[in-house]
Amino acid sequence: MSARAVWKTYTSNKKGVVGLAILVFLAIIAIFAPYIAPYNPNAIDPNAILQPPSPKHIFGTNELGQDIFSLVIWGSRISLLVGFLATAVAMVVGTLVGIAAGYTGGLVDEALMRVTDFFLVVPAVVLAIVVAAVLSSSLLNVILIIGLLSWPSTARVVRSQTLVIKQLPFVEASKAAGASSFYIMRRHIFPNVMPLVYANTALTIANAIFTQAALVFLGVGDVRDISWGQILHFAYSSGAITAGYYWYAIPPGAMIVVAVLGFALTGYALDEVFNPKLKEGVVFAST
Amino acid sequence: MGEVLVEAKDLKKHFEVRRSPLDVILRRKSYIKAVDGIDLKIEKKQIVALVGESGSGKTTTGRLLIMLEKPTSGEIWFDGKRIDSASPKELRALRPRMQMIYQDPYGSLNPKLTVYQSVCEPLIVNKREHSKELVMEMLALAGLRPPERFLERYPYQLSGGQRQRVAIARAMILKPEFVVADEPVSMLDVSLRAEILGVLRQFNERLGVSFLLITHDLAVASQLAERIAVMYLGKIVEEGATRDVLSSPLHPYTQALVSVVPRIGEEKRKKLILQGEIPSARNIPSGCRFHPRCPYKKEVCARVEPELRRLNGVKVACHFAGELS
Amino acid sequence: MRLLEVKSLKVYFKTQAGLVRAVDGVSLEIEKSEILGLVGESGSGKSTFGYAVMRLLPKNAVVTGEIFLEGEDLLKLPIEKMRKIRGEKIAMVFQGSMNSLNPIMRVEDQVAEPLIIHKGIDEEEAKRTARELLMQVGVNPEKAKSYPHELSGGLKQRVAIAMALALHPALLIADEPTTALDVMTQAQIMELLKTLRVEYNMSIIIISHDISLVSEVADRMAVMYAGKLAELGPTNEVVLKPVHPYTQGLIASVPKVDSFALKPASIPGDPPDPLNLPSGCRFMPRCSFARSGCESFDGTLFRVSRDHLAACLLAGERLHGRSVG
Repeated sequence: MSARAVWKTYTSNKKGVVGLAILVFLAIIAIFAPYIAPYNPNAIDPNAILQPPSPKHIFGTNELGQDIFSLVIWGSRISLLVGFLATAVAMVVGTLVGIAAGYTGGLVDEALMRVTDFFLVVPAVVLAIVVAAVLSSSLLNVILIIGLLSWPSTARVVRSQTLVIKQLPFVEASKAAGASSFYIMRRHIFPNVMPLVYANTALTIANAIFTQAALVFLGVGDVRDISWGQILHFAYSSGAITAGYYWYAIPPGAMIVVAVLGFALTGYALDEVFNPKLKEGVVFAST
Repeated sequence: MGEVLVEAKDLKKHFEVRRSPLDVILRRKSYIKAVDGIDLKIEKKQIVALVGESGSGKTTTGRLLIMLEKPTSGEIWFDGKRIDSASPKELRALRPRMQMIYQDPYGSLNPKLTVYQSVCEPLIVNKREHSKELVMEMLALAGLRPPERFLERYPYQLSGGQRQRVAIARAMILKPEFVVADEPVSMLDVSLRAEILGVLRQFNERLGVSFLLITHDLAVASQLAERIAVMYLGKIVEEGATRDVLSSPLHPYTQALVSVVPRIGEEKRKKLILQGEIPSARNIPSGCRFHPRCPYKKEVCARVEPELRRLNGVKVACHFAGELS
Repeated sequence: MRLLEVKSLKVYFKTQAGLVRAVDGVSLEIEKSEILGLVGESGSGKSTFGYAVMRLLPKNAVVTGEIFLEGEDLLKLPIEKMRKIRGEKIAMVFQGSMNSLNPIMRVEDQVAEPLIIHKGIDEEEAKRTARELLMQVGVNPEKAKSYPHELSGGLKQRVAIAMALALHPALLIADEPTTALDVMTQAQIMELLKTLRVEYNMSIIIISHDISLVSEVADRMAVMYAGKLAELGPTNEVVLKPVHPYTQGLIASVPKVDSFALKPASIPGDPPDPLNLPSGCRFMPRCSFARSGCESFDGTLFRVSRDHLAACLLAGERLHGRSVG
């Protein structure tokens, strides 16, 4: 499908339009954070501790007197960045593993799938805590950990699609012409698998954002970087939540929900656009 | 008698089937005998049709002849050399000389590649010179005119017939000597079939390509092939010049197939419509494989498998060939 | 009273690319217990016609004209009444329905389902009736317990037919009932339809691109081209004495079992783009008999003989005693 056709179909899908609108909204917040945030998020104000929402501080302040609204705006950067980068790792690894396993079959397939199963089965949080304890809790490591936890689902989707494409005559025609397996995987399997990967990517990003928030909340990862999960971490550890200071927890929580929703809707819409598209068929019943 | 290009000698392909755990324990193996002893010769510049219902083994035979599958036993010869036990390196060198055309025009082309990219691929893969002119030459021979108009199109912009022509152009661009065409027109409208078959004939006459035309449709076989071999459950039951086999078929199966091919204006003719379906190749009937469905079956047919013998210029495997109306 | 009378049926589709005139003014009648073959290439509008009679068109379809079933105009019925008619009075076997059987339901259960839903029969009785129906179409009781994937293409198609027959409709519309089936299975299915017509006293519309196959069982033939009727009449007249050049071309281009590698005829060119139909006679660009007058011909049907009609100026000339060969 041409890019224009994709766009046309996508925009006629209500879910997709809403999802895309949310993503644009988030992108604007993250990119223009310095201009949108009214305060320096790190600026401490001892005179304005744990104040409820007011015209001066739309979302109120935290235990250090920092403006929560500004924190949430700035927090979008790390939250989204980790989401994207971790997903990039997952996509690359997942696609390579999926194509290799699906196309090669046999023992290679079995071995790769068992590795995939391992990562699917291990509880994410436990693994993350262990890795963080062994290595440092840097931002890079968090990205890698989440990436490692996310690639299996991509690998499975890619592998299934690879199995379908592998059976189509044009793949065998290529083999009959003398093409090597690598050529076929690159030229035939990969381009026909990518549309599904796009849809899967959006959902993976949603999951990565959520996982990052969860990990930072638990203390894995650098709590000096402002992110939604980090805000929630301090909201909890400072006792603010238990004390009932709701304005501390709801904004970052809501942003996580909105972000996940945005990516999920986009992902589902993309899936509908690309799926069932391998067999280029008639649009409606033939005449 | 021309020079033989492709030859199969007692070719067999048995697929092992996994059965229940009990069978595994008792070490009982089960096979699908898709191809069960075939001798076939295709000469240079010749078109031979291999005809049968689905389940007869004709597609598997085609794939074996160009070594897309390895035979279980038997010999395959190409241009005077045995190829059934060739090394992967030797096979790769042979690939450009033998190609395949598939049944499904919708699955034959990568939807992400343009016509030019698809047709050009065999040249690129074999590190040969590739150019727009070469591709256009093939497209024109396949009936896509003017060829320039089609180079940048994607499969979804083409009709079934057009896609099949592109697939043919792609198969021919390496100027192969032998092409297996597996049901090349069965998914196209009946009115298009003659034209596409005509394209194959063009390549046969102009480039000297030999074809094995695999089809279940005798009319299609008649349109294109000089010789015809009829397959049933993995074996050839009748073989000879198309004119001989189709105008006076000797084997009851061939007779039945010929009788049911639609003939305009002759709908009141006697049609031998066989009951039931071709049995699975897992449970091949004893004696003559066809006997359960044969209208003339006698006691000997269930016991003894008939050999392929010469009769009136054709080869036929029936105990009573020549005696049946 | 005729069973079905279609008057000036037009089905236009509003698409993003423009207005598609799939069916553009088709009128025909079907008597009780009659088999009509509706024949044309892909894109001629024949399947759309079938869907229109069942009122199963997508939302972007604009339908005008009248469809009288036993005197009642189906197009004017409220949707609940039409739902009752579907299945009970008119049933359709859809293209490729053999591949749309529910994979997780046993075949006899699927045939029983419409009986349970429409007629409120209890499950045991419905299953018994289903098994009888399946017997009548040639699926014996052991196979009736199978799942669709365990059955061959021919058997699956019989199951689809049995499902359509469940409520004893007066009219059966079979859309491409033999695509993807072997020539022997095709013959079996055609024989089955002939038998069912007699046993159920049912009329059948067979929609197909294979004019020779349909001519074997149809009483009358309707040939469609680019949304309009080209020719209509008793089968023997239409296929043995075709008047419309398209019908002639269609018959000439079908591969025949006795062609023996003779070069076949074919209709030059391609069917018109449904978004961009030519004015005047739609077949003119491909017609070797085109002359002045054709470019403004609106497709009215001329009477060639009592029941034989053709939409061609050549037929008009015949009336005035001029032989057109």
